[in-house]
Amino acid sequence: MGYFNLFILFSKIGLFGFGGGMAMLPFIFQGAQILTKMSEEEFSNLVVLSQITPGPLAINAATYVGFAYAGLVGALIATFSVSAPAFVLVLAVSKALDKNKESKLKEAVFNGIRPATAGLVAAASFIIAKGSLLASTFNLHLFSYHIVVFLASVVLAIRFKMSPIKIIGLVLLVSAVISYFV
Amino acid sequence: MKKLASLFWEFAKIGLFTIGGGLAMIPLIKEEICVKKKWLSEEELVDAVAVCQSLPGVIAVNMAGYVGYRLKNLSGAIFATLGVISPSFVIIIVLSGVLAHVGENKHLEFVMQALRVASAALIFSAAISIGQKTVKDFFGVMLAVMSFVAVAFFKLEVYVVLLIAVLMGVMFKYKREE
Repeated sequence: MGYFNLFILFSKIGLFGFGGGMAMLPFIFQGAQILTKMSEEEFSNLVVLSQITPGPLAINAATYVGFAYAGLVGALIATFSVSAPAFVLVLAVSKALDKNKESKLKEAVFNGIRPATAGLVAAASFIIAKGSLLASTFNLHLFSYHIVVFLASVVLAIRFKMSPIKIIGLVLLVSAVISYFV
Repeated sequence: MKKLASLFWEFAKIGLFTIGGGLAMIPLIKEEICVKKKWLSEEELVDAVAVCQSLPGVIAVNMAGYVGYRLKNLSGAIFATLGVISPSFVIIIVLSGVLAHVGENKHLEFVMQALRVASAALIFSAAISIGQKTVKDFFGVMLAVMSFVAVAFFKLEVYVVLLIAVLMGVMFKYKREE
């Protein structure tokens, strides 16, 4: 097992991973088991770490496994390989779209995709919110706090046009203080 | 060169605040790239989201690559992608070395849970503003609602939904022009 295997493994994960980071996790676990004999407990630690740190989940997880397998170089290779397929594909599609700027078929295709995107993005929000809200269902205080955070963030974003970075920063500060009282 | 450096910097900021998945980038790109820098129109951002969701791979890399390419071709795509990856890379290397059990820190867990909820709220707000721009008739309302229900409740794969949306879009367009 060398750097080359690490590269092949994570390019495959990057290429076949439809649906973003969460969907890739099982494949990353399989890879981690083959490469590093990582235990399930260590892997669940990885998942938690990937989730509680900012940044794209798949990148976090790949960096972690690569680092565990072969240090800094391993981390670089794993992160590079998991990103490479998405990068190449998006470049190819962008080039193709540029060539067919005025195509009628392209307009017809986007005609259906654009409204669907609104629904899909709403679904992503629903799934992420559900994960956190389910975790707090049995704790009424925590649950109410999450509802307040959700509603306040929506109002600040839509009604007051506050920047997302400021909203995240505000929630971070308030939650850090509150975390000492619960 | 200056534009490339600032592309890297903007996307590093965006990567740092991407909490809960690649689509959390949408509200950030809208604010930093569309509103503040005016490098991209919001309509172009909607198209970016549509294209990136139908491609396999890490959504964050798709998004950074797409937007970077629009702005400065290949070199733009490279710098934007490196930017969005860098914060997570550094954070994971530092944390997995220093704190193997960082997940057991109660305060950190409480804060990150709240941040995920806030991130979901921001994505929801982005969905509303995308809807205001893209949903213009009954056909659009139907597609948006169906896509939401299919993915949120029936756990249908996103690319399947998009494929159906493409077919319906093409059929509807040509039928209207007959």
